Amino acid sequence: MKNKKTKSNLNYFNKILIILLVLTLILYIIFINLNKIILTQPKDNSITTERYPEFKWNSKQSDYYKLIVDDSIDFKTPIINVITTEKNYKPDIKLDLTKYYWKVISENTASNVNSFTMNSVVAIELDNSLIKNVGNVRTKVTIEDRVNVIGAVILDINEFFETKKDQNLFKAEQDE
Amino acid sequence: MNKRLNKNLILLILIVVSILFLIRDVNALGVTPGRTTVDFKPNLQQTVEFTVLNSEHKDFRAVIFVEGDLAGYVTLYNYLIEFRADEGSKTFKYDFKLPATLEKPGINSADIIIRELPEQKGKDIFIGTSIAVVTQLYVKVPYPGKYAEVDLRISEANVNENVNFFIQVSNFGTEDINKISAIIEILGPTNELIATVETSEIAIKSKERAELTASWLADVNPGKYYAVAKVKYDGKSARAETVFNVGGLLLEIIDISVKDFKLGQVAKFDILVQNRANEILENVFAEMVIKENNVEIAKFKSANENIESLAEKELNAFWDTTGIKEGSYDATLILNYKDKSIKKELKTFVTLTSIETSFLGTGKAVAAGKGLRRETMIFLLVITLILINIGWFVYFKKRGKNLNIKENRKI
Repeated sequence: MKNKKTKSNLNYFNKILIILLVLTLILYIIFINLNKIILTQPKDNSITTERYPEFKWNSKQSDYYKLIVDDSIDFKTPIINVITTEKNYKPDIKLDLTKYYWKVISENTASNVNSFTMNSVVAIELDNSLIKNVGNVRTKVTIEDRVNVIGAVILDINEFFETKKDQNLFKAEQDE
Repeated sequence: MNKRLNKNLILLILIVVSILFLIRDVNALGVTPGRTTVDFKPNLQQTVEFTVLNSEHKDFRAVIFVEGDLAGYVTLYNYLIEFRADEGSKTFKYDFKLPATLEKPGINSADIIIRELPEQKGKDIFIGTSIAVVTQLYVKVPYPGKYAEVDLRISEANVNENVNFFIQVSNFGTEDINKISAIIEILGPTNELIATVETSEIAIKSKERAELTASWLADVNPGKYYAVAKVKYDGKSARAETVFNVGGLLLEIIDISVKDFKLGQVAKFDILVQNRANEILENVFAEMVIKENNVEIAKFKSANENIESLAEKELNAFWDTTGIKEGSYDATLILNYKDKSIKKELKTFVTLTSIETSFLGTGKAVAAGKGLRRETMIFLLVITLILINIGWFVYFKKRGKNLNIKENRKI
């Protein structure tokens, strides 16, 4: 009788032990996952044409986040190296047309390294007699009449100039 | 009758003018990327994709053709492309195969030109204006030997403050540069030589970039000055020059302090500034550079703030002190506004629980750490739970064994 009681006590304790171990494991997994920083924007390996791209990430609240952006994966000479209390950051410097690597570090953890490529857009708009640079780079517009090149003008982003009657062809190319 | 006729006439004119005003003859064409750059490698072969943009969502046709030094090495997949109004963009590609050698150092290029074709109505072709966009192929051929390109940037200051000079150097040569340094000449409004400052000497590997820096105490009258950087490297030279201002700065740094600090964690610098101008200053931010033995070990900046006229505002910048040891460090505080910047030199004394800044002869800010953080607490709790569980497990296993032994003995 006593033997049976002892055995049932043992089973009972074993069950409690297993439940506690599982709970601890779950708690630990939650703890690990909560601490992860997931980079959301710009997307990994994406191509962007936004020269001031907004960086966004998800994670549990932290006192601060350190955002590092570099054109080299060794992060030795970062172009952006800021600490922010928000989960997003919009740089005030225009990013160059190259491939960038970025990561976010918080008090306890760090994200993976993601990358994106900044591409240029050469685009012009001819609105009646106005030629406007609607791309994302400084653009050289070569002006031709029906036969010859008769001039060129450098247009910054959103800058425009007025065309003349004898000007017929406008060719836009990147100038930075 | 006449009045009615006049009214109708005015109405008609208004309608015609409105219609003329509303008709916008807009043509738009775009391409991305505007440029693809590759480093030269003998016989390099690659396919490049580019996207043509129809942002006005119009029906149009365009021709694609190639011009430039490298045109002969480029093969197009499409020569005539068509867009429907519902097509915002389309991706095309070209191949290039480079030769074994390219003689011209620097940039060799090919222009892939997308030219909109004139509108065709029936059998007639309308000859009017036309637009074209270019996606360039740049092949960078290294300069034989040693070759550096330089760019001079200047951080302006008030009278009797330090003006800082930064020379960006890119080594575009095939060989490493062993020694590079610069002399910066500061010229006055009438081109007279006012001062000369020298940078330190560094080395730069082939295809890498580096920065030369120098500082000059602007003990001169306010106004425009001219800086000429004469760079010398391994028997060669380069030059960069630019204009800069002394004086007329509108922001004053009132105070700088650090609270609730613990070494190894993030230090929050509270930088109190005052706008002395009679206008709002937008996008003001502070930047701090920490140096140890004249070597930059950290650089961080605050968020951008707008400061009302004559108002004071606190800017917050964070320094991650991971890996930083207790001791004394040199620091530079840079206030940026309106394309201008003000620099102040500081001395910082870092201890386990405080950062003391020596700023214009005044010691500032000492504070204790915060204690355990929430995450540390959770982590410790998890570890404790694991240890308790292991303890229980071992205890009950042992107890179970003992009970079994006792029971067996009794039996």
